[in-house]
Amino acid sequence: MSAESLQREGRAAYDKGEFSKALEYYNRAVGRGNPSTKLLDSVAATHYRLGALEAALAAAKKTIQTYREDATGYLRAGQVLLKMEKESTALEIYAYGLKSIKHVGVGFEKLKKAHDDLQQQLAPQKSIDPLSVLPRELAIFILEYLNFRQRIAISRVSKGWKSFIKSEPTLWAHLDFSGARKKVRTSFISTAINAGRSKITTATLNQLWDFDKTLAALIKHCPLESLGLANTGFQGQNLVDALKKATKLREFASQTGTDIGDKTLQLILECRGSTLEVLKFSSKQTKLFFPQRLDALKLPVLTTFDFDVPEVIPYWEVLTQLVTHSPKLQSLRFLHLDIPGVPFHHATALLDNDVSNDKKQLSKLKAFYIHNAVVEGISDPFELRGRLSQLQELGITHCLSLKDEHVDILLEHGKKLQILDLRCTSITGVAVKAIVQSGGVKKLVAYDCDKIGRDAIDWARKQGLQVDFKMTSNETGGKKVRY
Amino acid sequence: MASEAEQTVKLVSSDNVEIVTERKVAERSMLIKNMIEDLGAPGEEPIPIMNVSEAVLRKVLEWCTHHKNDPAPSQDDDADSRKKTTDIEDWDQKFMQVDQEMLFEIILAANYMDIKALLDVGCKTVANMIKGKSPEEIRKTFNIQNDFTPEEEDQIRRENEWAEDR
Repeated sequence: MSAESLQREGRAAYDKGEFSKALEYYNRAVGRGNPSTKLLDSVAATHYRLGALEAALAAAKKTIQTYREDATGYLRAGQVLLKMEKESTALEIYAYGLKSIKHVGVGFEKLKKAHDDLQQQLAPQKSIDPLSVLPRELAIFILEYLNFRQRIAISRVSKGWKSFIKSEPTLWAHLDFSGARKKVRTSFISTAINAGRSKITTATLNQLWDFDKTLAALIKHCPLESLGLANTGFQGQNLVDALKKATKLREFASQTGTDIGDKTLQLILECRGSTLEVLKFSSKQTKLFFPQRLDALKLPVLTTFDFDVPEVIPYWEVLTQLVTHSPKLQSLRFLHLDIPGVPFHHATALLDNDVSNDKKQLSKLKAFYIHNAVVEGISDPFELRGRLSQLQELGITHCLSLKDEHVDILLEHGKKLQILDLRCTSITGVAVKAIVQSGGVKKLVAYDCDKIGRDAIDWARKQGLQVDFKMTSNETGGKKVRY
Repeated sequence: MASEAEQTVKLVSSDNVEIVTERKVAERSMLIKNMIEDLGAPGEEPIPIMNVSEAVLRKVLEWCTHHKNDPAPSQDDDADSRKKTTDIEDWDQKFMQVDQEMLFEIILAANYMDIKALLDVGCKTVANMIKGKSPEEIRKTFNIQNDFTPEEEDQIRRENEWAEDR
C-alpha cells in the first residue's frame, strides 16, 4: 500500500473512532518516509484521542521540528499542553511559533489568536498596559528607572511601546552601550541620533561595529558633553581627530577595554584639556605614557581625576610630573588613585603640588580616594597635615597596612572630614571608637574590615555614626571593588 | 485650640465619602498641606480630593499613616541618587502588592495629591515589574498584544540585538 492509501485508511479508522487502528496505519505511512505536515499532525491527534498525552506532545514536537514554519505543530502542542494543564508552557510554545513563522497566513493568524486568547486568560486580573493608562510624564518617570539597554530591549513589546520610547528624546540623553551583549549596529546609531535629537549629551561607547563612524556621527549631530569608552579596542589618531570637533566635551573616561597609547592621550589633552572637568583613566597597560611636553598641558578646570593603572612603575614618576608641570590643577576637587603598591607618602607628595607656593593658600581638594596603597613609616606616614584640614571625604581602601594608630593621625588633622572610607583595611573597634569620639565624621565605610567586631559597629550606630559594614568575602582582594 | 499634633482634617473623596484623619498624616500630601495653609483652621471645612475615590484615598492614607514621621526629603538627595536604585523597603513592597488597577490608581492619586515619596514607590514598583523581563514576559504581565508583523519584529530585533538579555 502506498503512503497515501495508508493515510486514507488511517483517516477512515479515525473517523470511526478506532484510534488504535488509525495509529497503526498512520505509523506505517510515516515509515514510508517524507511525511507531510498533515500526516505528522494526524499521528499527534490520534495519540491525543487515545489519551496518551506525552506521546501526543512528542509527536507534535516532531511536527514542529520537521515543519518549523508551519503553525500546525505549535497549535497541536499547545492543545496537548493545555490538556496537561501546563498553560504557561503552552503560551511559550505559541509565542515560539509566532517567532519562527516567517509568512503571515491563515496558520499564523490562527496561532496568533490562540496565543492572544490564552495570554488574556492567563494575565493577572485587571492587568493594564501602564504606558496607555498613565499620563505621559509618569510613564517617562517609570522608564527612567530602567537603564538605557533595558529601555531599548522593551521597545519590542508592542508598536505602542516602541513609538512611545522613540518619541521621548529625554530617554535617549545617555546613549549607554555598557551592557551590550552583542555588537551595536550602525543602523541603531542612526535611529538613536534621530530619536535623541539634540538631547544626547552623554555617550558610553562599547561593542560597536564601526567605532569611527559612530563617534563622528555623534559629535556631528549631538551636543556631546561626556564621553566614556568601555570596550572599544585600540584608539589612535581617529579618536583625536573626532574629539577635536567635540567642543562641548567636559568629561572623558577611558576604561580598561579601550587601549589608548601615550601619544594619543597627550594629543587629546592638548586639544580638549582646556575645557575638561572630569578625566578618568583606567588601563591594564604597563607601558609608559604622558611623555615629554608635560609643561604644555593645561587642565585649568579639571575637578575630577581618576587614575587606575596596574602598577606603580612606571606610572608614578610620570604622574608626579604631570601634576608638577601642570600648575593649573588648582581646581581639582576629587582625586581617585588606584595604583597597587604605591607608598602613601608618595601620593601625598603628589598632592603637595596642588598647594601653591604661597603657604597660606590651602588645597581645595575635597575628596581623596586611594586604593591599594601601602602605608609605611610610623610618625606621620601620611604627611597630609595642612591639606588634610580641608578634606571632607577620604578613602584609603584595600590597604592592609592601615592600622588604628593611623586613623588617630587622620582624625587629628582632618577636622573637616565627614566621610571616611576604610574598607578592607586592618582597623579594629578601637579606630571605630576614635572616629565616633572625634564627632565630625558622619559616615564610615568599613566593608571587609574583618578585625572590627559586630558589637563595635552596633555601638557606633547607636552613637549616630552611619556605618556601612558587610563582608563581601568573595570580592575581597579584587581591586575593582570601588566606592 | 488643639495642638497641631492632635488636629484632624476632614477629606472628601470623589465619590463623596468623608474621611477624618490626623492633620500630620494628611499633610504628607503637599496638595492638602497647601490647602490647609491657604484656608487656615483645619477640621471645619472638609477638603475635597476631587480625583480620588474612597477606596484609593483610604489606601493612600494608610501609606501616609505609616510614613507620617518620615523626615522631609532634602533637596540634594533628589534626582540623581533616587534614579539609580529601584530598591523598595519591605513595608512599602507589601503595601504595593495590589492588583494593577489599584497600583495605577495609587500612582495617579500620589501624583495628583503631590506625595512625592509615594509616587516614587509606585513608579519603582512598575519599573520592577518590567525590569529583567523579556518582551514576551512583559506582554504577559500587562496583557499587551504583540501587534508587530513578523517582518517588523525581525527588523526591530535585528536593530536592537545588542540590547537583548540573552
